[in-house]
Amino acid sequence: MKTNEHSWWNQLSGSSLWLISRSFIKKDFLEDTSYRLAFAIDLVGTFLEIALFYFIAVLIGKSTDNYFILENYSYFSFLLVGIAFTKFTNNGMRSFSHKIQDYQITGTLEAMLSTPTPIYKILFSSVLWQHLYMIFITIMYFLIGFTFFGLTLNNANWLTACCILFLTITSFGSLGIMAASFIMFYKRGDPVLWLFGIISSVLGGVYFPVKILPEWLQSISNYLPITYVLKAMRKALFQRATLAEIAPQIIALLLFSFVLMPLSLMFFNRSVRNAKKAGTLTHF
Amino acid sequence: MKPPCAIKINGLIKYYPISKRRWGFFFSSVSQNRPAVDNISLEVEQGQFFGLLGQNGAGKTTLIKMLSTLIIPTSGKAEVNGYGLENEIAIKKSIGIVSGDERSFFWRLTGRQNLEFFAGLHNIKPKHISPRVEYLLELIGLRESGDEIFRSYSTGMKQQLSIARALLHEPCILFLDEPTKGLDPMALKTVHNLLRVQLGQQKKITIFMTTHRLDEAEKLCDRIAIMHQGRILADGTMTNLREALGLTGRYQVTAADVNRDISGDIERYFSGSKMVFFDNDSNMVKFEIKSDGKNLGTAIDLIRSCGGAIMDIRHTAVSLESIYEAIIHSRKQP
Repeated sequence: MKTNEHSWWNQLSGSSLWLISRSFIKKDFLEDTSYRLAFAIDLVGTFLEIALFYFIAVLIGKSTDNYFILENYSYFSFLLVGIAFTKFTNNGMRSFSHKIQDYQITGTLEAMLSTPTPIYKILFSSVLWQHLYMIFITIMYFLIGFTFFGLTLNNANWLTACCILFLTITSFGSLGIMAASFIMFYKRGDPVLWLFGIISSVLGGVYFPVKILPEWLQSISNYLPITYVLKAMRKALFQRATLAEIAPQIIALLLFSFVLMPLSLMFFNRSVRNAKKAGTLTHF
Repeated sequence: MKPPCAIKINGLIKYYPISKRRWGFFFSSVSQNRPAVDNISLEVEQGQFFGLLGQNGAGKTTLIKMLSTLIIPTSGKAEVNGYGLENEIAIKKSIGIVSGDERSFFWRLTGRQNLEFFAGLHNIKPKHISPRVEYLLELIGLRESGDEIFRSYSTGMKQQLSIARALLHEPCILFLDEPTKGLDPMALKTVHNLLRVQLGQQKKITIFMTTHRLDEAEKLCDRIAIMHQGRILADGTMTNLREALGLTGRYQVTAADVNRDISGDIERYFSGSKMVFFDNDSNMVKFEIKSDGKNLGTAIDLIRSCGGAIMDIRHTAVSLESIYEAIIHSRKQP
């Protein structure tokens, strides 16, 4: 049977981004699976973390009823979404800068930059496996919560949840690329990410609803993308919300993505150019 | 149609900002007083094996990195395979780079897996990757070791894999930055043969190699440039360099029954000549006479007039080491 050379699959599989992405995913998979114990430790750690928060929720559960009774989910459900997606977003953000720093330290960045592959394709492709792995871990959070700790997902709208996940990746990815820009030129970016992560954890509705914060702190929350991710995801998973019903959160995440992504790419290009001028592209 | 010059450099200059600590804590950047690359202009023809010789810190690596678009020059222009330095992607498709850095691979992957990964970055289609990798592993003699983890490779094997990686996409120009650093004599011989015979002579790849090993440059290169403190001090074939410096040759004359006092006459008469050996028992003397051949006869007559008998005359070409020393020495003189 003659294949259509112009079919979308042939075009996609023949495009350089697909080939590059495939190479990175395969390489990262082979490297990560060579650390066999790390995977097991990840799973055990996830289980213990969920158990910890479950029992905290049991301890203080009754006193939180006022906040969650109208939302139709428990404090444990609220917490699980918070910790699962905070881990997802923090790891996602850090993955960009960690990869660049890792490649600089191991000396492989120069070898990759010696190929015709543009650096932004290297950057995007190098975090794909990490993101796929984090999606797997996030699913494990809910699977473990469902299997062992009574989490109910009967009211989940999975399509909405997937859309929110996609927008989470694009908006936090932008922040990750900005951090990678710092690493490229200043060789350090972790303090910035750490600070952002802490602020997001405190003010983003991870461990407690934003509405219990003083008003002036709530206004800061409105500038954090995690606030919108968690609010939208909780509605999608526990209240069967459609995209229309979480439109404000979707619009906010779209704004974060469309404003931050081009800005971050611009910063990244500028930092690469400056590093090339200074001759420090591969220094660490 | 390929351009006549594989590499064309015109007035390349590179200043690095150097960071200095002030008040014990803070860094402030200042511009380098002396450029790392100082107004270099040269051309390398297609298929030529070009050697760039210089001490550590001469600017060789900076020059290669500018030509491979990893560093942006301060000023000047260059063309690689007909493309200006602003055409980064086109240049990278034309060149392969071998650095002396053995860290530039993924240590937890096998040699084969490493090559397959980099083949993907060169946009080689998946169905072509495997046969290409097999061919290159065979070429560099690592076919049996292809499935061993990279961290278990010896230094020589790592360098050979580095050469294989640079050849994945069949480049027409190879940049080699001290490719034989840390290699033992056996590995050195293998790499030399690969570079000179298989790549240079058989495949006609243009090779631009930096080294501080004089013997290596003399053995491998069609043309040599000597770089010192960012500048090209001399550029040409070995013959050109010898003629330019007047270092045309030395004769080693072995004579018997010679009075030792004659050495002073020889050294006075032929500037740069010296007695290298004297055996008291047999009165055997070996002279090294700097001569273009014309006044060798005069030297022989002088030895015979003192009662000596000529036992042997040999001509030795001036080594690259002598040329290098002469050039650097002349550069240092006010």
